[in-house]
Amino acid sequence: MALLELKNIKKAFGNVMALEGIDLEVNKGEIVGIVGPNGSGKTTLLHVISGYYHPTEGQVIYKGENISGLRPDKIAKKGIVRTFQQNIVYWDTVTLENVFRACYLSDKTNLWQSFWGTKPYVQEEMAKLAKAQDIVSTFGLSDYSMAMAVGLPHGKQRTLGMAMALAADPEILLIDEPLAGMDAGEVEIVLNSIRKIVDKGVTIMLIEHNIKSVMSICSRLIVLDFGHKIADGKPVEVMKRKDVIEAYLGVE
Amino acid sequence: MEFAKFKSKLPLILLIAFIIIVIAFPLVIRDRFVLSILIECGVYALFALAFAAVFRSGQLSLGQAGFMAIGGYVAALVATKAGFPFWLAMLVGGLSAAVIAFLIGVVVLRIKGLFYFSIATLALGEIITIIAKNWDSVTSGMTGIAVSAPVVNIGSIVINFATTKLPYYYIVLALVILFALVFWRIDRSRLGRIVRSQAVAPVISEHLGIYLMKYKVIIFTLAAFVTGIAGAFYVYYLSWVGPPLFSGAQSMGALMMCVIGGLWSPVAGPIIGAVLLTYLGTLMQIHLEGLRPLVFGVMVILFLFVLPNGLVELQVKLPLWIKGLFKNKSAVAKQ
Repeated sequence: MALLELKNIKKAFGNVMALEGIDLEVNKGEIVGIVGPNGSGKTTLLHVISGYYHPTEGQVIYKGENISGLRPDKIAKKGIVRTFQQNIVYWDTVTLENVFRACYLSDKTNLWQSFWGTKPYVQEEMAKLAKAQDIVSTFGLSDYSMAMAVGLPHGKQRTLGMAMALAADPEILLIDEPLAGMDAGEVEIVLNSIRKIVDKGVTIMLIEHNIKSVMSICSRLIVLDFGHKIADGKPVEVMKRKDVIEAYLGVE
Repeated sequence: MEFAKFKSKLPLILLIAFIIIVIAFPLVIRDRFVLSILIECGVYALFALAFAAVFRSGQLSLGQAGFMAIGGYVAALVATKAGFPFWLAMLVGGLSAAVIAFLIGVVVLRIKGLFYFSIATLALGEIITIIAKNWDSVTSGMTGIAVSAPVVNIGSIVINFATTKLPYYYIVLALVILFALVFWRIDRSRLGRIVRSQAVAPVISEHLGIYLMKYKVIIFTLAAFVTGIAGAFYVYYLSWVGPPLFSGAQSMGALMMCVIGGLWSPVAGPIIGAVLLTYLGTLMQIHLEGLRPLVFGVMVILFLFVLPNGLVELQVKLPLWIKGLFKNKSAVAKQ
């Protein structure tokens, strides 16, 4: 059984159909790349899976359970976490605390215990801190761990976004344009951190315009065009197809 | 090394010294007028603490005075009609404000965005005032309800609140210290962290698994409880409750107190702002009647320009200013 299954997903904004019946399956351990021209519905698809939008029609089935229409926090609790196209961080604090706060879902003690600072709570906080430090160093952010998150360079902020998503212990990580606006060196760092996430057994869905990087990292490629899925398969094979080249790269 | 140790403990020592001074103050300076100002300062400190807590959760409650009214009226009613002792009446007042806040919060805080909540609370404040003015059979309209001062028996000691204001002072002081500790502790604990996270970046917090509404409602309800208690206390202190006590201007006053004291400090800012503005307000009522709104308005504007984070920011900025002053002078001398 597929880990995540989308059945005939449709999303309309007024008269505009952003997604016109998408069917797809994601299996455990895959790295699925989603490509397509701007406005083809890639981010909308991610929004629908993560609960930011509710689908107009169709079902999102995760581990055999219909999760379409659930709140984002419920979906995150079930193990689907996402990053954002924009750099959104907690601007009021430092990098390490950003990741620390993102460990929210590993909290077991309740607010009352936290208010009184009981022993289990303190132990849990120490464990969370260790986890946050671990994640920060995995993503090569150790030098910045005590720097304000808003002050980080663009590439580091995008990496931080992924680090925070990983802190929520996802089973499926949805990454929206991780390489946008990065230079060659930063691209390499981010691709390496994505490989590290995969090593932890996380399934990944990835939106990206940088075809070269997508080809190098993804095990499967899905092409969207005007809300339709026009191709789905091995990256090398998909990129050879004529309709994909037409839609995405244009023809002469 | 020894000095460093002392320096790290200095804030705590200062705080304890300050609390001792505050406790001893009315015993040394026996002035009824000063005492009454201090009690009002305490009431508004509670009010501003609650207001700041809601603000820090990313919401602007423009009808917070409404909860003060609920607390005050409920306390007055259960005291006069059902004969509740005053501490129980205060508790019931606070709880009923909390219940109303919970019911409103569950509905309104579901909607994302700042303005819906502000508009809804603004309306709530007005609605409560209108009900208080017009529901004659219960609230006695503009006449209000007179509440008799409580008489407390502790063993053989009888404290009659009608003859001395001192007990009020210590009760409000205890309440301020208690709730200041509570809000300080919340700010340091997980709840504070979550609330700050969702105020700073709601969307990302939601996608990291935080159910935003739950924590906003918790803070809003707690704040209403504190406000309700402040209202009930105020009613007992004035021995009267009526609609003018809790107008919408009071909520704006709380906002001004927080801006001037420091919106981003959970405890010190609101308390400092409340004490300063209440004191200035009372002075102006005597000497500059009518000019109060103008002076306060100008003050807020000046603060937003010079000290946007309020008076608590002085501890950072003052040394810098002094340094800058000397630098400029030496530069001029060199020329």
